Amino acid sequence: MSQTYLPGQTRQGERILIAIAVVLTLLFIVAPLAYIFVRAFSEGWRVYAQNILDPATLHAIWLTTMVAIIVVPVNVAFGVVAAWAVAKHRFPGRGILVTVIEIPFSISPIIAGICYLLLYGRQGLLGPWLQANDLQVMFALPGIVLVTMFVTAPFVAREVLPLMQAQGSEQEEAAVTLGASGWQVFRRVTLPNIRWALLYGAVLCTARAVGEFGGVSVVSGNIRGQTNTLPLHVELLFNDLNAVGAFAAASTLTLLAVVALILKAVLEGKRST
Amino acid sequence: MTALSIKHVWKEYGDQIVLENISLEIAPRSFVALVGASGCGKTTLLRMLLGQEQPTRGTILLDGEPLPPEPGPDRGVVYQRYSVFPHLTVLGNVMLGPEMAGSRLWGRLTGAPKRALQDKARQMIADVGLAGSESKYPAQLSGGMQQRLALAQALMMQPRVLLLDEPFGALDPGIRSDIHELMQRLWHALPMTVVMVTHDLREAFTLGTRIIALERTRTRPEEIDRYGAQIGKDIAIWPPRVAGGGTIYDNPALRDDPALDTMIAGRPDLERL
Repeated sequence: MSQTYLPGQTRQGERILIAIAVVLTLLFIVAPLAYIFVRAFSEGWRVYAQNILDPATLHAIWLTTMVAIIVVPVNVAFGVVAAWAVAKHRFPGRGILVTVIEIPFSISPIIAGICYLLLYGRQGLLGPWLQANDLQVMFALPGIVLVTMFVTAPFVAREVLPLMQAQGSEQEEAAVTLGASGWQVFRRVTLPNIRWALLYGAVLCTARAVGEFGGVSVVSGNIRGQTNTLPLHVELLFNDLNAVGAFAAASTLTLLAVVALILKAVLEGKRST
Repeated sequence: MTALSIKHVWKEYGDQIVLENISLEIAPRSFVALVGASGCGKTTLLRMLLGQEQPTRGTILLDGEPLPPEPGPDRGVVYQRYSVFPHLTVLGNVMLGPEMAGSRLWGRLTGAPKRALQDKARQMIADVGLAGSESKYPAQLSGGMQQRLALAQALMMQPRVLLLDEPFGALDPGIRSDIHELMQRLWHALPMTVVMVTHDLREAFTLGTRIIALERTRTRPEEIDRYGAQIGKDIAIWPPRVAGGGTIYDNPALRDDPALDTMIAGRPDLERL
């Protein structure tokens, strides 16, 4: 039996499926997010502002921003270099490299945190040497940055790699025949071709770096006003039974995520044109 | 004037011999069409002339000098696809080569040199019949227009040798004959030697001054890897075409032209005719 559909026509079954999808999205995604803002503002603007302007919360926002500012450029560079190596060159161990890049996706971030603790901690492998040289990695900014870097390492590479593989290296070869140097090939041909995927990967990487909880909670030491990132601070406030404070801090995180999502949607549109 | 001299060139990939003892003298300003079955090494020979691949044995001389082992601005190339850059406009594509040569670090020019280059590029775009399309992107051009753009891009570098790898193979017959006319006009007007790989014998005879057919003489399964393709036929077009002149029929003055002597020198089959 065949049926023809006109644009705009939907059958009963389709309507039900669409309705289920919409209801589930509202119930499980939109409602909880909206509730964050409802609770954050439940005692009015003034209390909200007071909570956001609390020195510990401000410090958490500042620390999280610092981490993202350090991590994202490093991972963008790493992602481009790794994708370039894998997509444009043939070398032994190429397949292994592709798998290794993806490891952070499959490993629970808390395991990454523990690994770093075992490596750089006081009792860790490099602990004595770090102490002898008076370098504080764990329970300080370097540790938080390292773990966040690990967790967000694959985002840019995973976005850029398929695109580079699909494009092949014909265009680069064509540029070389026009007398381009290696840097010029990258700057004038490779980079413009991957720019949207690169920005898209950077947005995802930023969102994840800002929101990372598990790995950071192991290595940060949760020192309020010193090593507490925004997600950790939300948990801390929540455990303090300061619900409005927790939700206010959470609302700033959510806003960051929403901005990242809007950017991502814009970039996706750009990429497909 | 530019002469190519290919001396006892072999090309092997591992155990497989692709080209076997190719020797060929290409006179200055000639238009050589390389024909032959698929996989017989036409493109490999072209890539060696370009410098993207090296002969396993033997030498290639350009004006008596050994060919540099990498592509350079003295040799331009147009491929069937991938020659133009999708992220640059027509003008940007044509300016890219000189821009990269003029600014090694950024590949961009500014001020007076840029305006001079723009004027030159616009002239070149008009010469290949793309006037009015300067600000379009390659995706907005038809296949034939894209190949005209690829020609303009390659010719901006004023190559001494223009290498064409089935440049018109994907075009419709009507469009192809238009671009053949353009190709002939360019060859007559510009001081360059052309080597073109083609599947289309009609195209080879329409444009060439000389047809080189690569052939594998031993094709039994046990022989196929150990014997490469050789020059099977070397056909000079009669009446001889002289770059910038036409043929001796439509231009009787050419009978005394020394260029004709160079072209038929060492070719007993021609003198007999």
